[in-house]
Amino acid sequence: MFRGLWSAASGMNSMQFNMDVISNNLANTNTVGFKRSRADFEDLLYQTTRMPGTQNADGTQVPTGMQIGMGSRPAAVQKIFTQGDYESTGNDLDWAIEGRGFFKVVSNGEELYTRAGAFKLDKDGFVVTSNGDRLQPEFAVPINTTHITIDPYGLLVAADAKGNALASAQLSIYDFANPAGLYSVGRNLFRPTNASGDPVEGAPGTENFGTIAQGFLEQSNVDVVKEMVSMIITQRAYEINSKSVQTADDMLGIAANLKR
Amino acid sequence: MQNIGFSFSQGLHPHTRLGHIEALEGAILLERRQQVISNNLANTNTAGFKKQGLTFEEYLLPQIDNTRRTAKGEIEKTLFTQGPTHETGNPLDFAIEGEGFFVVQTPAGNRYTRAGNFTLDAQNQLVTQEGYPVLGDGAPIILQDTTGKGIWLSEDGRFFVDETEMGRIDVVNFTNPDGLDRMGQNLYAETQASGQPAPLETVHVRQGFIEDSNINPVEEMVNMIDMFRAYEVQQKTLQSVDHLDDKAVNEVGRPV
Repeated sequence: MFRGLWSAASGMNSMQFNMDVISNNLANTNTVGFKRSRADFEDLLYQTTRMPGTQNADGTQVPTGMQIGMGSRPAAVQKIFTQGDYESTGNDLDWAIEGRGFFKVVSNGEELYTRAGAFKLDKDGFVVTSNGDRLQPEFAVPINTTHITIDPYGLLVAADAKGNALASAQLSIYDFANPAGLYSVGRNLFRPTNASGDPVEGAPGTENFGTIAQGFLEQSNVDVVKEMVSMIITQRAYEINSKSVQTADDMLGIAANLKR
Repeated sequence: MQNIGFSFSQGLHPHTRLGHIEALEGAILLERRQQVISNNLANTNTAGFKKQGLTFEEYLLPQIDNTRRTAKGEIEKTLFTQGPTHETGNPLDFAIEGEGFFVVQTPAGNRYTRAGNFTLDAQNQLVTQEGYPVLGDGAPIILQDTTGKGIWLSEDGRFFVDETEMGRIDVVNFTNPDGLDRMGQNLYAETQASGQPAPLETVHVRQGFIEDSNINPVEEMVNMIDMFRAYEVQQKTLQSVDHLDDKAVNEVGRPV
């Protein structure tokens, strides 16, 4: 039967997949520390009916072959770790990383990484994410604390109303050779994989690590206009692939009607 | 795809069996054309994809019953025209402007690609989305960004990390790119027909850009309509020939 029918169907599948990725990006336009994803596609195998470079009956070499493609498929969904915009919040516990790096938190006993620096305090005074996962290294704010400050290099100080330091700690952040290879757990958290490489620990502002900006949040790096344009292109591509299906179907109808 | 023109021998054949065969051959070729168009359209969003076209050639066949016969063969051609590039802002996306291919090391040997949507692996090697290393000066490119100043590529293909030159990305070309074997996964393999890869003297690579598929949806839709109507004509031809046979069998020689 018509291979073109299946090629067109694979094209529709790819476009649907692209739409899923775009929708997720758009749904996270307001998610702190969210990194947008991009679907990459590749062509499928080719059916080779004549190999380029083979000899024909006269002994001359065929300069071009005869290869029929089988459509396309999604190759990868790549997270794009470009910097998001910063929003000033004035909140002591909103920290944005300017540059490379991730905060480490422990969620359900597992070490995970995040760029979403919207921290809170839990009932025991520990610095936690919105989900209650503790920031690592753990830091408990003493009871009489009124101010919490963190400098760009990660020195965290809890002070009382008179400005006396009650507790302090040095915050570490972590980086990966290939952040695009991280596994998205959801809840703004990432898990290291073989593709991302092991986390490298460092103090903010040293080597390739970014600095900490207190009172700021890193916004999602989703560009709504860009996503909308991608959505239009995807929808149209879906539509023209459906036309291929229709045409192949009509041709099959013609073939079937040969017999009167 | 301007060079795809095809014509069908019109009119009824003196030898009706041959008319059948020719119409059938025509229909089979058109079905193949539909497959090529479908594949092009399915790859509208595939980075670095190069569209294919079919050209038909006519050649003489041995005479049967003193009737000159021609048959149509087809030649598939990959059109390596430049695809539009679009800015992504991702420092590991690269687009070649003009001729050339990136070299990718796969377990089956070196392969060639126009799709420059690369990434880094855990060993800091520049790899394709399939994880195959991209070659520079004949070896995998290792880009360790220890200072956070970023990875830069000059337009002539030299990598800089922290202002230190890390080698040059390989961009090669072939004497006959049409002869390349399409492997899927956006990869091409060399064949006897394509010739050996030769490094390009002047390379233009743009960082932060991706080359889109070079298919033109309007052109493909027009090709599809064209093909579809031609397919209908083949059906009519077959039906006419069948009608003639019907007359010959059932009416000629019927007692009046």
